[in-house]
This record gives sequence, structure tokens and C-alpha cells, in this order.
Amino acid sequence: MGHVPLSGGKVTAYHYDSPEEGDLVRAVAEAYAARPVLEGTGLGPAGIIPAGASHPRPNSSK
Amino acid sequence: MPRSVAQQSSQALRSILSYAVRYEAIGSNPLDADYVMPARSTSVERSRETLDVPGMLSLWGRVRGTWLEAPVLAMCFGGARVAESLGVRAGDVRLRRVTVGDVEVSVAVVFLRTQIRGAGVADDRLKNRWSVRPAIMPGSPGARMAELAAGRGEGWLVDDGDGGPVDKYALRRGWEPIQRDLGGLLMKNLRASWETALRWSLKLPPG
Repeated sequence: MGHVPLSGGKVTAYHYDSPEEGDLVRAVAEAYAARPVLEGTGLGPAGIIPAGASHPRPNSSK
Repeated sequence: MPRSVAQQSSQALRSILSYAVRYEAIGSNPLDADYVMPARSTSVERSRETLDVPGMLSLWGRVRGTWLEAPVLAMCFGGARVAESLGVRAGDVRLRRVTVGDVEVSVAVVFLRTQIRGAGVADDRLKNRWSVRPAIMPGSPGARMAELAAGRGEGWLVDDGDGGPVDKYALRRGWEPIQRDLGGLLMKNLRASWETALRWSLKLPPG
């Protein structure tokens, strides 16, 4: 996983359900698990929880 | 039509029709009349100003619960272009939960395939052929995006109240007060902000 496609150029064919999407999701998830820089704000549901724990009820929008 | 194109077209037609006048096919050259030309376009706004991660989260806090939240999330935490952020259908958002070691990370996959042009015209042609892509939104913003999409069926994630997409003019009007408070930050630079966060905060080089 070398990069995250934002505008194209390096990725020549991207499809919604292509296997590459799974690689991309995992790469971003792994990077985020190492550096969860967007957590703890209380703005949205927790984006990272202990594995196996049940997800808290999502916050309702205002 | 841009002003420059209108002027060039007018000059070309005047030259062509001058032959018709010379050979008496027509009495006068209709292009000799004064026509109202398109207004001179203002230059495209350019700025390199972006938000850092705390600034992005602060922006999210400001728009949370408003109709601006979904497009701002798509741009700020998914790298969507402005027009793409309005073209997201609820069905384009899927939530994945990925186990990494001893934690589970929420990741929203937002399929960007439509942009909203001008006054609310949905266009499935994006900027280039690579632009149709999944935007990957990790963590809390991604989970929130999925929360916003839940229960909206297949409709637009943000709509105009009549089931149609919100147009860019409405988005721009909504952004104006925020832009003033953020020192003139351009909405399109939210995408660049996410690109910067990916590269330097998450250590994921964007392509």
C-alpha cells in the first residue's frame, strides 16, 4: 500500500468493490490505529474501540 | 460563455458576415450592433491556506448538526472536492470495522462518483477518469458520516428539501460566514487540509 488516492494519477482503475479497496481500508485503519488523531472530541461516535467491545449507541444529531 | 470567448466569436462572425454584406446578400452586418457581453469574470480565488488537524476538528464542531456537516466531513476528512461533496448519496456510504491488533477501527468508505454542477445538476463525470474513487474516512468522522447516512435510503446525503441535491451556490452561501471567521480560508482547501493531515499526521502519502 503505497498511497491513498485523492485525485488519481497513480491509480489507473478503481472500482467500488475492487480488492484494492480492502487494501486501502486496511492501510488507513492501520495508520489510524497507530495515530488516532481525530478521536476524543465528542463530536461523533467513537472511531476506535477495544477489539471485541460492543459499540456504544451512536450520538444522535442535533 | 466567458467574455473572451464571446468577443472572439463576435469578431469571427463579423468577419464572415462582412463578405455577405460586400456581395449584397444582406443589407448590413448584424454583428456591427452593440451586444451585451458577458461580465468580465473575476479571477479564480487561490490560496494555499489550509487547516491543521485541531483546526479541522474545530470546524467540524462548528458545523455539527447542520446541513453543512456532511459535505464538510467529506471534504475535510475524505478529501472530496467541493462539487463531489454534494454528490454523495446515502447509499454511497458504508461503514467498515477493521480490527488492528487489540483495537477496532471504524472506517467509512464513501464512494465518490457524482458531482453537483452549478445550480444543482448532477453529473457522473468527475474531474478526470481517476476521480471516481472511494474516499476513506477513518475514525470518528467516518463513523459520524455513516451515522448521517443511516436511514436516508438512497437519497442525497444532503438534499434541497425537494429531494434534489443542494447546489454549489447554497453551499457557498453557507460557507461564507465560516470563511470570514477562518481568515478567508477557501472551501476547496479543506481537501488540501486532509491531504496534509494524511501525509504528516497519519504518515500516509496521498496519491
